[in-house]
Amino acid sequence: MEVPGGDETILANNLYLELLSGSGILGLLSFLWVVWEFGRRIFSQRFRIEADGDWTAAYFGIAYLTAWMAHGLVDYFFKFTPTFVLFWLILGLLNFRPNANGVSVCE
Amino acid sequence: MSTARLWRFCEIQLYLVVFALPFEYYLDRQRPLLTTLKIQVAALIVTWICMKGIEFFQSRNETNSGWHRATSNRLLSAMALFAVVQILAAIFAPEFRANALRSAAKTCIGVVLAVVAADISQCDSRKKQFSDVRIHAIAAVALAGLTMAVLGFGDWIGIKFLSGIVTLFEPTKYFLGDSVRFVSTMEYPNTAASFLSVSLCATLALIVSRVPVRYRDPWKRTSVLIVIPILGAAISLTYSRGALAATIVAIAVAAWIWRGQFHLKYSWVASGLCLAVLFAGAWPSYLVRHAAESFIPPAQKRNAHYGWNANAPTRHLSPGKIYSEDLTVQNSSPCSWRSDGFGLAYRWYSLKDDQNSPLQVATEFHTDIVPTQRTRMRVSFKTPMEKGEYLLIWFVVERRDQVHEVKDSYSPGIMCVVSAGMAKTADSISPKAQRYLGAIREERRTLSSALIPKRLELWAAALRMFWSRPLVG
Repeated sequence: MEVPGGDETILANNLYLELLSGSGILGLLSFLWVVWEFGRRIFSQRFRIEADGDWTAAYFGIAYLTAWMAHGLVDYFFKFTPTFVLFWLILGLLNFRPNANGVSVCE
Repeated sequence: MSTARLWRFCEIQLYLVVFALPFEYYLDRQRPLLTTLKIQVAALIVTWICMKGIEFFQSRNETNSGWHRATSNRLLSAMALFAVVQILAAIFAPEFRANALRSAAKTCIGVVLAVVAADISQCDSRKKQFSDVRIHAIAAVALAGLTMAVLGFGDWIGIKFLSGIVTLFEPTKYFLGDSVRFVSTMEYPNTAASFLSVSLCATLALIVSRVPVRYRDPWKRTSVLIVIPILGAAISLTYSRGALAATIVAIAVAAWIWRGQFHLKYSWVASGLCLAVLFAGAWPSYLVRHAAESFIPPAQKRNAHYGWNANAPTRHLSPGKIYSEDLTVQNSSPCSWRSDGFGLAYRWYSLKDDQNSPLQVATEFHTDIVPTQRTRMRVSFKTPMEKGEYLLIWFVVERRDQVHEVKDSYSPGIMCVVSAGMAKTADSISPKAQRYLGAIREERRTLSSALIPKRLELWAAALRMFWSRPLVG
């Protein structure tokens, strides 16, 4: 029987409860660890600005993280490709690791 | 191709992916994997892997070619742990394992994407200033949001060309009461609101950090600010309270943290304008919600109700095919629906000749459904062989000598366009079908609102799921 994929999902409309119900306490804690690392590194950049890019990236990072976490209290966006891809791209873009020639420090 | 060119190619692909986020085009709605955005993401990852492979073979003796150098070990560990937990949760999922596996696979792809993005933005001798990549990516987010908002407003005021572009990506309209929710090219109003919120944050970040330095001309400085009300108005017209509140909190927090850096009045003006626009936008949102809630007439009982989400009022199906659905049924009658006599059936109502098809049984109930009980079940139905516009109507049925409908058990009709082609635009629906859609919307509004789970009920259900399997869900 040919059965096209339907939507079998009812979401909890809450990022944290969705993670808790879907992947348990380990899922929620590991996600919070990811967010903590992201936030910690972005937050630490705010006093170490040496270029325009640092300014912009740190400001955007803090605003984005706050909006994502706050909106996550009443909605869940990992299911939708655009918001899901955006989260991981921003996570990577704003959390670069300084190398030997790096002109900025973020650790 | 040299690694420098390949790297440049990767960088451009990254910007294109970011810009394309609100413009995900479904090549085939029946195959959700086939979208332009997913293809772009796959192409970016493949190109990056090729680049790293070439780089690895070219500099095997050098020590700085490892991909893991792009991100910190702690962040990598956190992301890896998150992915592993998702995989474990999927493996041990008691039901819907395929869904859980898909979700885990998505998380793994997300982690890879983060590493790719970090690597592309990394400062290296083969690249130019690393900060340029971040700034360009942030600018792409801002530009994508602005483009999406402009297209949405064009559609809103009825510019046919812009409506055509919007319909190409998302033909469905969403309503709150009688008001159309702003969705533009995205799939749902709330995801649109979320993206616009991020875009507003990106725009403000660029404005407060770069405009005062770059532009001395007050006209130029002021004209840049026009983007803020455009994005703010778009967010408020989605009527997403969560996005509105989250954006206000985010901008207030960022302004407070960076208050020491706001050495120019311009930055304060930009942040203040942003907050003012969002607070002003909350008012129409409140009015529309209030009007929508007060408009709902007293609840009418129905024995069957189609779909919790019911977001897409029109479905595009192929002729003579079997499809499956999850239906939720609540017994609001005083009698028990026994498993040995009751079930679900459907009819096709043809809009072409105003004829009903014979009743076709989709499933019988596997257990008795007692009064007030609500249950969810998977059913299959077959589309008519003849192309055309139909209403799909579900019934609870009872089998005695013959199968017949339980009185008043019909669901609101679901508009289905049965065609072999892939024309999925609103324009492809006839005026008669449009009239029916309006009537169906009215009928849905008269259904008992108690049938739709409230947010708190969803949260309570999620917590119950958590308590039943607390470790990995």
